[in-house]
Amino acid sequence: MNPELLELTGFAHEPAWLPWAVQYFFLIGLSVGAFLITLPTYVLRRRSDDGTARAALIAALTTGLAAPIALLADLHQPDRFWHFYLYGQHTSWMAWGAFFLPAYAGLLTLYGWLCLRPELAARAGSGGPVGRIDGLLAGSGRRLPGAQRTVGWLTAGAAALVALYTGAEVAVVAARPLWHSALLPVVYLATGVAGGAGLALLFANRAPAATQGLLRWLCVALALTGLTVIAWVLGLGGSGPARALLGLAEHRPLTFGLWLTAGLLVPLALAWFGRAPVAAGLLAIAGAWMWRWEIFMGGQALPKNSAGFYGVHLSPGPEGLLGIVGTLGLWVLIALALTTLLRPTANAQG
Amino acid sequence: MSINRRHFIKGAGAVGALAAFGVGYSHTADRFLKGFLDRGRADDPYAGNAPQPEYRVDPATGRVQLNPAQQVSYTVCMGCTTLCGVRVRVDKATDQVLRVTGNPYHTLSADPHLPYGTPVLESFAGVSRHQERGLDGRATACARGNAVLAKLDSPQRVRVPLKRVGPRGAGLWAPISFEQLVAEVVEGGDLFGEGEVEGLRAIRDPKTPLDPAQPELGPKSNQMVLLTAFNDGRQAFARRFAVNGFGTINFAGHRAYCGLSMRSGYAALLDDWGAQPHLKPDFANAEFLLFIGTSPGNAGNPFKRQGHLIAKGRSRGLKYVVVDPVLTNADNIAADTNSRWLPIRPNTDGALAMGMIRWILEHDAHDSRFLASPNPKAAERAGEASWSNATHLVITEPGADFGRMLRGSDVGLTPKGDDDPFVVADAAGNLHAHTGTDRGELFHRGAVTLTGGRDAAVATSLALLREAAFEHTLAEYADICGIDEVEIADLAREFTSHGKRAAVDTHGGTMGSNGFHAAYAIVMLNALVGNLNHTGGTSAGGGRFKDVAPGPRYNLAAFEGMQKPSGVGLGRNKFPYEKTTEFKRKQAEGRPYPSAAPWFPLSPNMGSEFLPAMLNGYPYAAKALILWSTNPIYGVSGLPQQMAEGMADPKRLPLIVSIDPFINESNQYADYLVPDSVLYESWGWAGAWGGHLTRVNSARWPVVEPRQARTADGQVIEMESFLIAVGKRLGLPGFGPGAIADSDGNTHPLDRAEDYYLRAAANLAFDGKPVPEAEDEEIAATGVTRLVPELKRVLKPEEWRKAAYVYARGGRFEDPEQAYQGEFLGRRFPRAMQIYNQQLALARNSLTGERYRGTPYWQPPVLADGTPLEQAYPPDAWPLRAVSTKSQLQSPHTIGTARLQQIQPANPIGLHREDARRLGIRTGDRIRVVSPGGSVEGIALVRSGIQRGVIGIEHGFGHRELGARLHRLGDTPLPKAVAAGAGVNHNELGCPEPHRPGITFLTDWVVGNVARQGLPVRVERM
Repeated sequence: MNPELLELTGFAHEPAWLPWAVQYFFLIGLSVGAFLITLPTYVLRRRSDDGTARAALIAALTTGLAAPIALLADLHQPDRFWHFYLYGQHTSWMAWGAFFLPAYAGLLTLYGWLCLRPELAARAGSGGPVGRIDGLLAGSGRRLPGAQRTVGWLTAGAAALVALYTGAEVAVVAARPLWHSALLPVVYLATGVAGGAGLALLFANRAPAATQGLLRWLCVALALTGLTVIAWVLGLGGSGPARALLGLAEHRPLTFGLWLTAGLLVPLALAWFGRAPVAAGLLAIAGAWMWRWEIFMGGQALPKNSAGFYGVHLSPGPEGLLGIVGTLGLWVLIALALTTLLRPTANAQG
Repeated sequence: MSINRRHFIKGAGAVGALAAFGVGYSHTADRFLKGFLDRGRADDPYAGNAPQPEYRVDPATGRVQLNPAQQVSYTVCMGCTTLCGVRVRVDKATDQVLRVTGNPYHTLSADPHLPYGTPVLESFAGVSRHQERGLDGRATACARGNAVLAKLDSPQRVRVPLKRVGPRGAGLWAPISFEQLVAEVVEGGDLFGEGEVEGLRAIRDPKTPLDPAQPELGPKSNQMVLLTAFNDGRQAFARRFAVNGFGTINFAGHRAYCGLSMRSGYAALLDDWGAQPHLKPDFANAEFLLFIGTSPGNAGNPFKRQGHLIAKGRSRGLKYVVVDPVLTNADNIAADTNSRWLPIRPNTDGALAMGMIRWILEHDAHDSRFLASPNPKAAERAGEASWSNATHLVITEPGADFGRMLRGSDVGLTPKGDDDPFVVADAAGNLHAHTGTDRGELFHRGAVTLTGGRDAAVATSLALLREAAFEHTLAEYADICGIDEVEIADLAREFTSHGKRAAVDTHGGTMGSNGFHAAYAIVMLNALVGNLNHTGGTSAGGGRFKDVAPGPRYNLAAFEGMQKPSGVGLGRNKFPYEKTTEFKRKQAEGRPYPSAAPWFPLSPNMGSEFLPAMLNGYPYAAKALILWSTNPIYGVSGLPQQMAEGMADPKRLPLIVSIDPFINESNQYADYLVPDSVLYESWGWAGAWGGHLTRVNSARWPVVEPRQARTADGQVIEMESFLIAVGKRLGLPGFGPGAIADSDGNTHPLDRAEDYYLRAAANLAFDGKPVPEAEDEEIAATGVTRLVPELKRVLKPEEWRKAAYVYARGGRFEDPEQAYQGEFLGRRFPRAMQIYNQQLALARNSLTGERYRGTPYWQPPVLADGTPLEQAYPPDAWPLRAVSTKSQLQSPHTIGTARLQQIQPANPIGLHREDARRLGIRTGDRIRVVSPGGSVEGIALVRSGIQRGVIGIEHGFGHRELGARLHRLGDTPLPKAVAAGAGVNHNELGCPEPHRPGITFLTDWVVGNVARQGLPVRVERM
C-alpha cells in the first residue's frame, strides 16, 4: 500500500464474510479432497490398499456432515436458508451451491453407507447397544458393488460441482482482486485434497500401507498447491490477483509466512521423505485452514478504496474463536459417533 | 488400552465436544429462533423497521401517494454558507426532521434543476426510482447538511433569554423573561451591580456628533454596533434595524476575514468597490480551469454544486489544475492528468499570476479582439460578450493628474451624452472617445496636450499591465513562487489555448497581507482571455428576483423615517484618511502621515476591524455591541489571543448583547444572550452566492416548530422578534404600525417576522410574470398548510396563494434554459473589466501617504505600512509559513455535531516529510506551532501533499466554546459536547502588527483583509 496516501475521510469496513465461512470452506474442502482419495478403491476398483480408502472415507464423511452446519451459521439470518429454494437465482453460484451441497452431503452419506455396510454388519455381531445400532444400519450387510459404484460416480459428480461452486462463488467477486483469480478454485481443491489426506492419516492408525498411500496423496496435493501459488504470483491468474497476493504477504508477513512454511513446505518435506505421518497430516490440515483464513479474512482486510488496511481480527465470541471451537466440537462429536460405530472391528481387521 | 478406559475417554470427549458445539452455536441458534419467533417485528416488507417512506410512487401510473404521518417541505440548509435548497422530511407526530435531501427545483441541488412550473407531486415522483430512471433527476444534500440538523435539539442550545450573573466570560447565567430582556437592553440602568450602563435609548442619537471635535466620525448612533456573519436570508432584517432604523453605520458581516482579498480583486477588475461582485467559472462548459488558492468541491462556495460539476467535468474531459500549498481532495487520481495539484509557496500566488501574464503578453496569447474593443457596443459588434478598459489611456505624467484616466474633456473631445468619455488611441496615434471608435490600440504610449496647454505622457491600461508584468523575468517569478519556469509557461499556454472556455478561480488562499494584489493579478487572467459572460468562461451569477426590495407588491427596502447613516465606520473604511480631522491636525503639524491605524478607503465595512477598533478606541469607542450569529473571536486570525481582557471589561465596552442559539468564543462575553432559531425553524430569503447562471431565491421558513421559548404574545424568541420588540420600544422608524407600504400607498404594520417575510414572498411571486396560484393539494403536500393562517392574515386575497406557490417549491427559480443564449450567458455583467483601476490608483496608504498602483504587479507580503513581512519577522527566527484550509466537514459553528466528529474528530497539523525529518517529527507526535502572536499544540501529520516549509491546518476545530466549556444556567449546567474542543484553531497563530499599540493583527495593506495565510511560524517538538 502507498503510505503517501492521506485519507481525509475513511470508513471502517466490517468483514462481510465471518470466520464461519472459513470453517465451512475448510470442512467442505477437506471432505471433497478426502472423498477423491476413496475413488480408486471403492469406485474404480483398482486394488490398492483398502485402509487408505477407508480412512479417507471416514475423513470425508465426518467433515462433509459438519460443513453444512458451519455454512448455516455463517448466514447472518440463518432461518432464511430456505429462501434459496423458494427464490431461485440462476446467475448466482451461491444459489446453485444451495442445491449442490445437500446433493453432495446426501450422496456422500449413501456412498459411505454402501462402502461400510460389510464392516457395520461385522460389528453388529459383537453385541451391546452399539452392535444393535450397527445391526440396524447394516441391514443385510451384503456388498452391493454395482450400487456402490453408481452412487460413487454420482457423488463424484456432486463433489466436482461443490468444488467448482465453492471456488467460483469467491473467485467471481471482481471487487476483491485477491479473490478474482481463476486459480483460486484450483488451490482450494489442492489444499482440500492435502487436508483430506492429512485428516485421513489421523484415521489410518499408523497402518503402514495406508500411511504410505496417503502420504503419496499428500505429497502430490501439496506440490500442486505450491505450483499453483507460484503460477498465481507469476500472474497467470491475472495481474490483479498476483499483486493482491503479494500485498497480502506484505501486509501479514507473519501469518502468511507461517502458512508457507508450516502449512506447505514442512508437510511437503515430511511427506516426500515419508517421515512423521501424523505431524505431516496435522500440518497439512492446519495449512488448508490457514490458506482459507488468509484468503477470506486477509482478503477482506485489503482495502477497496481506502489508503489503509481494514482491521480484520479474530474476535473471541461466537463470530470468532468460539465459533471455530464450536465447529470443531461438532466435528469431534460426529467423528466420535462414527468411530464408535466402526472402530473395534476395524481394529481387528486392520 | 482397556475398553473401559477407552469408553471413558470417548465419553468425556463427546461431552466436551457437545459443550463446545453448544456454546459455539448458541449465537446461531439464538438468531435462528429469533428469526422464527419475531416474525411480526418488521413494520414494512420493504422498509423494514426504518421510518416509513414519505410517499410512494405507483409503478404503473406514476401517481404519488403521500404518507399522512410525514411532511415533505422544500426549504434551505444552513450547514455551510452555500445555502442549498433542500427537501426536508419531518415526522409529524414527533416534529423531528428525519432526513434531508435536495430540492429538485433548486440549481444548487440538482443538475439540471426542474422547470419551475412542474407540479409539486411530479417533483416528488421525479426524485424517485420510478421508471428506473436511476440517478437522473436526483437532488442531493451533503453529509454535513444531514448532520447539522442535530442543532435543532442540541443539549448545548440556548432556549431562553439569559443574563450574566457573574463577571463577563465567567459562564454563569440566569434565565430572564423576554420582557425584562427588552426593557433592560433599551433602558439601561445599574444592570449588573457594576454601575450605570447606557441602554440603547440613550445611545441612539442620529444627529449629535459622537465627537464634536471630529464631526466626520458621525452621530452617536454609530456607537451601537451590530456584527453578523453572512447573508443567510435574514441579514436584510437585521440591517433594517441597525442601519435604517437605529441609524448606525457600524453593521458588518464576516467578509473581511473570509474572502475579502478575492472580493476586492474582483471589485478592482469589475469596477464595483461597493457591491464587490465576483466571478465564478461556468463549470459545466469550461475546458480548462485553473484554481489558485481555492479547491473546487473542497472550498469555494457553492461547495456541493461545484463538486458535482467538477466530477461531471472530469468525466467529459475537463482539465483543471489546483494551485495550493496543501493538497486537498480537489485532485483526483482517477482523473489521471485531467486534474493536477501544483504546490506553491504561501503568499506568492501573485507572482505565479504575474508570471503567466508576462508569458501571455510576451507571446501574444491574449485575446486581442476582446481587449481592443473600447466600449460595449464595439465588443458586441466584434462578437464579444464583454469588454474592458485595456485601450483606455491613463495619465502617467508625474504631477497632480498622475494615475487618473485621460478623459475626453482633457483633450477637447466632445463628450457624448452626459458622460465624459475615456480616450483611446488608434494605430496612427489619433485620439478618440472610447465610445466613438470600435477599436483602440492595445499598447499605445505617447504624449497628449491637455486642455490648458500642459503636455502629459499617457499609456493604455494594457501597456501599464505589461510594464508591471515585465518588472520581473519568468525565472524570477518562478524563484519566488516555487513553481518551475517551464511549468508557469505551460500553464499560461494551456490557459490561453481554449479560447474563452478557460477560466481562473480564486478564493481564501489569497487571504494574506498581499492578498488584494494577488487576487487582482489572478483574476486579471480572465480578462486576458475575455471570458466574462461567455459560455465556458466566467459569470457574475444569475441574480435574483425581487423579494426584500422595493418590490411589485410591498416596499420592504424603504420606509418612512428611514435613516441614512453617516460618518466613519469602525473599520476606517470607504472613507479617505485625508478627509479626517486627524489628518488636518497632523498636516498642520507638518507630518500628516502616518495615521494612528491604517485606513481602507476602498473597502466595505469590515467586521474584523470592529472589535479591535472599539476596544482600542480608534477611531472611537463603542457603547453597545450586538453579536448576531457570528463569532469573530474564533474566526479572525489574531483575535482569539488578544480579546479576553478587553471584552471582559464593561468599562471599555459597556453593553454586549448576543442573539445566537449557541454560546461561542465571542458571545461568551455577552451581558445578555437572546436565543435564536436554527436552520429549519427560521424565516428568510436566501440566494445563491455564486456559480449559478439563473435567478435563485430560496425560501427559509419554519418547517418544524421552533424549539426556543416564546414571548408573552406568543412569538418565537429569535432575532426578528427581539429586534422588533426593541425597535418598537425605542420607537424606531420601520417597526410597528405603518412600517410597510404597499404598491397602492397603504401601510401595514411590522409586528412579527411573518409581516415582513410573507410580504417578501408576495413581491417574489409577482415579480416579472406572476407565478400561478397554489392548489390545495400542493399546499398540503409540502407542509405549507402550517403557513396558511398567517398567509391569509398578512397578505391580500389575490396574493396568498401565489406566495404559497413559492413556499411549496422552496423559493422562486428561473428555468435552466435561461442560463445560455448561444455562446453567451443569459445573465451578463455589463461593466468593463478594469485592466487598470483608477480608484485604486488614486487611493493612498494612510500610514505612508504613498499611492497604490492601478494594475496588478508582484507585491510581496508586507505589514500595513509596506514593511516587508520578512523584515519584520525574519526567516531565521520564523522559518515556516502557516496556512489554513477549508474543512470538508466542519463549518466554524458545527463542532459538537456528533455525526461529523464520528467521521473526523479533530484536525492534525500537516507538514512536509522533509521538514519533519529535519525537525525529527513523526506522524502522531505532539508538536507546538509558535507564531509571533501565539501558539497552538496538536498532533503532527507528516505528508508529501504539502509544500515544503508550510504548516497546514484545517479550519473549524480547536474550539474553546460551543460545548467545549461548561456554562451554568442558574443551578443547571449546560452540558458539554463530546470532544468539542478537539484539534487546533489556526487563528490562534495570528500575528500582530509590531509597530502599533493596542490590539492589532496582520492585514492586507490595501484593503485590510485579515491575513490568515502565510503566517510566520516555527515548530517545536513536545
